[in-house]
Amino acid sequence: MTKRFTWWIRRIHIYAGLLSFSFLILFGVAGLVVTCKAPDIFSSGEPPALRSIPFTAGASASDRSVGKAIEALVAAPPHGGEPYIHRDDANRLNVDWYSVNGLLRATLIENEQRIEVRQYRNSIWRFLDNAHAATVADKSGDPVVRAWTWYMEIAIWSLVGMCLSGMWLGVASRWHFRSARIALGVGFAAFVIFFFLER
Amino acid sequence: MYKLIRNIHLLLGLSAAFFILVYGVSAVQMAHQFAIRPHISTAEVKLRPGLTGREAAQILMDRYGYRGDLSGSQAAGANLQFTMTRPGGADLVTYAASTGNARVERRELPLLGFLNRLHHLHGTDHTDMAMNAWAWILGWISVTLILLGATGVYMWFRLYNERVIGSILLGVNLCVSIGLLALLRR
Repeated sequence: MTKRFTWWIRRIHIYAGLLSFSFLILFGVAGLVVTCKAPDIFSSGEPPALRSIPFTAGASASDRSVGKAIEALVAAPPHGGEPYIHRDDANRLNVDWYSVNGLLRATLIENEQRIEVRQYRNSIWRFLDNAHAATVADKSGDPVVRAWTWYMEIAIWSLVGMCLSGMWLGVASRWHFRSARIALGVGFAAFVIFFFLER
Repeated sequence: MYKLIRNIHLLLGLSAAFFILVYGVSAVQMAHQFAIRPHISTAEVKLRPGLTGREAAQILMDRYGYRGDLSGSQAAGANLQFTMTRPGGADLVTYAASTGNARVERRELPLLGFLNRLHHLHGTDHTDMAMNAWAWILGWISVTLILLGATGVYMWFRLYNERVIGSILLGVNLCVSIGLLALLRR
């Protein structure tokens, strides 16, 4: 009975691993990107692409309605989510679109009657980091983002499944192997220590 | 060679399994936005009057066991406010420099919230050594995930009776994920 069960668990472990292989690599790369602090869009040293659009804000319009007018005028970047309308430290109105590729920021320069559009495109490493953080919670209307986030959902559950099935396989079929017992014991002890240290 | 790779896969996987579960479970929490409601409690601590925010925080850490990354102090009326943040929660301190009274509001995160914060914890520039140590764990887990993937594919490739189904699954995975990434990068 246990042998049969373990046979099935092994199949699930292998198939889940193959179905989400690239995501395992992606998760690993994303972890290394933040561990090694790869430059982000503001610290990369790459100047943003700049363009200017003539625009006059209504004299009695609210920030929200001006932001919506800017949103209609400036084409949203591909895969960008809902824009974020806010004022910056210099009290200028900004409309920001964040996407996996970086940031598109439209800043209203009221006294010059124009919008300054800055496109910050991130490095491939930060792109991969952003891609790993895209989940079904994003609720994007973009079909490519939707497809990606649903595959990500499969990958997340696969990761959990591989972890649990891998532990079962290690215990059920390799328990006689002393190093396996030590590895599991050391891993568990380290986890418990870190759990209470961080808590 | 196969035996060596199999042992590397096994030992890496077993030693990292609980840490990887932290990332997996917290990813599920984030994807499905399970609510996180902190438990809030307060404590009153008597300190010396006339301290700066940093001095007050240092005494709270040394004598009363509080810890975490210290935020900058801000004036809140006649008081000073600062926060000490750690993955398990945060302590918001309101210190009255005139009397020396400090009110500490502790926001303790439930398990899922704690795992969420651990998922986001990175970088070795924290003042809290435990948080820096976790950043090294993250680096180790990242390398481990890549090695587990690579050794896993190698082992599957050596299982001849699994090649057809495996090739289809791996092919689908690579085509779909690389294709979607290329479309996203446009």
